[in-house]
Formats: sequence, C-alpha cells, structure tokens
Amino acid sequence: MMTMNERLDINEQAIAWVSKLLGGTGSDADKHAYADWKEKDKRHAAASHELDRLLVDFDAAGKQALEDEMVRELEAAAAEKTRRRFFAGVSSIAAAFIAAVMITITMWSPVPEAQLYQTAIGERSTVTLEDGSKVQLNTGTRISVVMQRDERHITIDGGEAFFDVTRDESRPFVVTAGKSEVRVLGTKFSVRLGASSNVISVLSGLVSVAQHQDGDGESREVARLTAGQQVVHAAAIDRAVVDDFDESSVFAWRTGKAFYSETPLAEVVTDLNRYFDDPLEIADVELASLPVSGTFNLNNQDVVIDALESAFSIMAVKRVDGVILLYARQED
Amino acid sequence: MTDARPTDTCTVLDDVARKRNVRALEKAIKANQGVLIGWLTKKLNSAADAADIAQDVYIRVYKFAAVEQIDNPQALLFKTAANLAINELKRRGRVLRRQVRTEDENMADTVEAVPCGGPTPEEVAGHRQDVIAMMAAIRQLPEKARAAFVKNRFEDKTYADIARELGVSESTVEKYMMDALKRLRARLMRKPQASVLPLPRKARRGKS
Repeated sequence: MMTMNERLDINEQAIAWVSKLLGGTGSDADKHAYADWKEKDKRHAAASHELDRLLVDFDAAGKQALEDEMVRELEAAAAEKTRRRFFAGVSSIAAAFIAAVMITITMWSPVPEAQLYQTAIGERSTVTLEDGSKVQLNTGTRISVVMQRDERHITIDGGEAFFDVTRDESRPFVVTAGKSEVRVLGTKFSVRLGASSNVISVLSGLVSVAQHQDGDGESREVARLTAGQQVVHAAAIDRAVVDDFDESSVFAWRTGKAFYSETPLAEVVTDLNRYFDDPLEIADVELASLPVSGTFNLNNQDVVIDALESAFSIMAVKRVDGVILLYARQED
Repeated sequence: MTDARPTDTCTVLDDVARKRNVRALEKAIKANQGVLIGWLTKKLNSAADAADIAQDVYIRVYKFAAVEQIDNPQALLFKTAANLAINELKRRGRVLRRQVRTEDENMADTVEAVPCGGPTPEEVAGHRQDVIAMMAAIRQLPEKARAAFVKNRFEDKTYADIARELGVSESTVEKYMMDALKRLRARLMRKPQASVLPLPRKARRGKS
C-alpha cells in the first residue's frame, strides 16, 4: 500500500519537474533527468501523465474562455450595428436589392487595405479620401484609413486631425482615437489624441462620440455634439466632459497658428512642443502658471521664441542637447 | 464515421439543404462583414492581417456549410473568427518551444474538419461548466501564482519574460508556478468529474 505521504511526495516531485521545464529555458540534462524519473516508477509516470492532462485541459479552457469572450464582443458589436442601422433609416428594400447583386461579386473580393498617412513634426498636410472627404493632419500625426462598402473607418494612432466629411448616409464615417470612437454621416470636426486626454471638437453638423469601456471591450455613446461643442475625455478621471469651445483657438493650427487666451505657460509649452523638434522646457518653476495670451506662428520656432521673449519676462537659452530652457528674466 | 458518435446525428446534406445552408451563410457574412473586419482590425492591430483572417474565416465556414447543417450562421461566423484570431495572436506571441509536450496542437482549429463529430448539447453544457470551474480556480490563486501561470500558459511567456515583468528572479517565477500547479491540482484532481474533462471536440476528432 502506498501511504498518503508517498503519494503527495510523488505528485509534488512531478510538479517540481514540470515547473522547472515549463519556463522555456530548461536544459537537455533537465529533460533527460525528468524522463529518467518518469521511467523509474509507474507511479511517477502516472503522476506526470496526470499533470500533463491538467495542463492540456487548462490550456484548452483558457482558449475556450478567451474565445467565448471574443464571441461576446462580436455579438455586442453586431447588435450595436443593427441598432444603428435601424436608426439610420437606410432604405432596406434598395439595400436588399443591391446586396443581392453584390453578394456574389464581393464575396471573394479582397477586403480593402488600410491606407496610411502621416506627418512629421512641424508638418501639416491635407489628404482627400476616395469618397471626397478631406482630412487635414496636424503635426506628428498618423492615421490609417479603411474604406469599406458599409463603413468608412479612420484610426488615429497619434496626433490631431480635422475632418471634412462628405455626406453618405449608407456609409457611416467612423474615427477611432484611443478609446474614443466618433461616428458621423457628414460633418466637420477635429479629433486630437493626446497622451492624457482625447479632444473632439465639432465645427458643423452632428457627431456621436462613444467611449470604449475598460475590460469588456464594448463602447457606449457618451455624447452627441453639435456645432461649437467639444468633448474632452481625460484618461486620468475616465470621464467625458462636454463644453463649448473657442473655434479660433482649437482650429488655429489649420492655418499654421496657435492661439492662446489666458493659458498657463506650462500648457502652452506642452502644446507648442508638438510642432518642433527642439522642445521648450520651463527652467524656473514660477513661470509654469504665467498666463499667456496671443497668437503664435507655428511655421518658425525662432519667431515663437522671440514672441515669448518680447511679450513676457522670459529669457530662452538653448542647451547643447537642443532643449530650449525658459528662464524668468531678472528685471533690473 | 467515428466510433464515438452514433450515425443518426450525422446527416449527409442533400443539394437543396446545402444551397439553403450556403445562402443563409452568405446573408450572415454580408450582414456582419463590417463588424468582423472592424473587430479583427482592433484585435490584431493590423488591417492587412484582419483582411487575411476574414478571408480565412469565410473559406472555413463555407467548407463547413457544405457538410453540416448550420442553425445559426452568425454564431458560427463569430466563433470561427474568434478561433482564428486567437491562433493568429498565439502564432505571433509564440516565443517558447514547449518543453513539456502538452498536445496543444489538438486544439488548433475548431472548424476545419468536423463532419458529424460535434458535441451534443449536454456535452457542450458540461464542457462550459468545466471551463468556468477552471477559470474560477485560476482566479482564486494567490496573485503572484496566478500571474505566473496566466502569463506562462495563456500568453506563452518564458520564465525569463515573466521574471522581467514581475521584477523577480527566474527561480522565483518557478516557485510561483509550482505553487499555482499544486493549488490547481489540489482543486481539480479531487473531484474526478471536474478533473478529467477531455474536451469533447478534440476527443473525437481525427479518428474515423
């Protein structure tokens, strides 16, 4: 008879072996030693086999759980789409007719590739999409565009872009930026994907903004914006705040300018640094809260620095590594 | 026919049924194409890969439709997409040659070749219970043991990777793993019915 202790011992030994070898770096010697251990005793082999089964089952269960979760995500996305379709009021008869004709043609046709567009630091550029929509990219921006039959999808990987969307009711225009998703039929609006917050500002028309939830991967509508409204989603508080905004300030970049009104210098510096390779840095902490108002020309950093130096008590010094330090000028 | 499955559940589709099957499937594909591509693009973080996988999904479900009655085409579509997405993610993340053979390959593709071998509804339900029980067991592990187990088993990470992520030594990771295996074994091996769970699908496959 085997005692309980012996049995535990064997199982623990098997676990110790397997734990050693699962790490991906076990030596051949280890593997041989484990094989020898298994051969030495039938009970060893049985314990080892049992443990193998357990791992197989867990691997399978893990995969199954992940698959279930993914299917739930897909079902949620499909349900959401059906709902939107319903409200969009597409002529279903016409759609069905077109679908019937298209289905055989399109079934095996390749899904459109994503088009990538990007701008370097300090660069601005406008692209016209195949549907006539125009996208203006601000400095250091990267977007990918996938034009599908039933949806126009743009993903902003970083930066800021202004969209002038050609109206097409059967083909929603969707912009994803981080966790924010913007859905429109035809409007003018901008989306900025920031490190700590996303900002969506509407110049004309109606925009639906949804937010992806942590964990479940679903998105829910957080705001409907009309012209002159903006939603700021700050990651830190995970909340979306809707407010009116100043057009001349938010869209100033489109004409190569930055406009600030009583904005703390720290924020101004962060914003300006998007446009230039050599970053500004506040060297004297008391400058951080200095309120800055005015328009800056973004095409030339020297002009920006001159403007700062002449309008405020600021002195700029360029360090060898390129960083431009801002000091409070000593008044005498 | 497989010996594990009585023949009565294994219907051979006639032409009419097959056509009806394919039509239902085409409709489901049409209705869900946007959702599928969007979701795959997000999951795989690549529109090109999403397009490839989507094509693969369509091909597989079509093959399936030729041999098996499909009751819920959308469910099949989503299940296949999830399955292929996982395989793709695994393929990308595979950094570790398994040292201990785990017959993982048997789990490869759900829909590839399953004429009349599908589990019965009872089997599916029982299998679901097993999965839920196992996931619960993992959730109840101490934090570090759980982290080591999940990263190693589900994310295919080596102890070196995990050690770096957790900021501990590799031998400590090995200890966490040992702890995890002991606890999981104790939890699931006691009750025979909860432990064995040869997953129905794979037990039946490939031996006709």
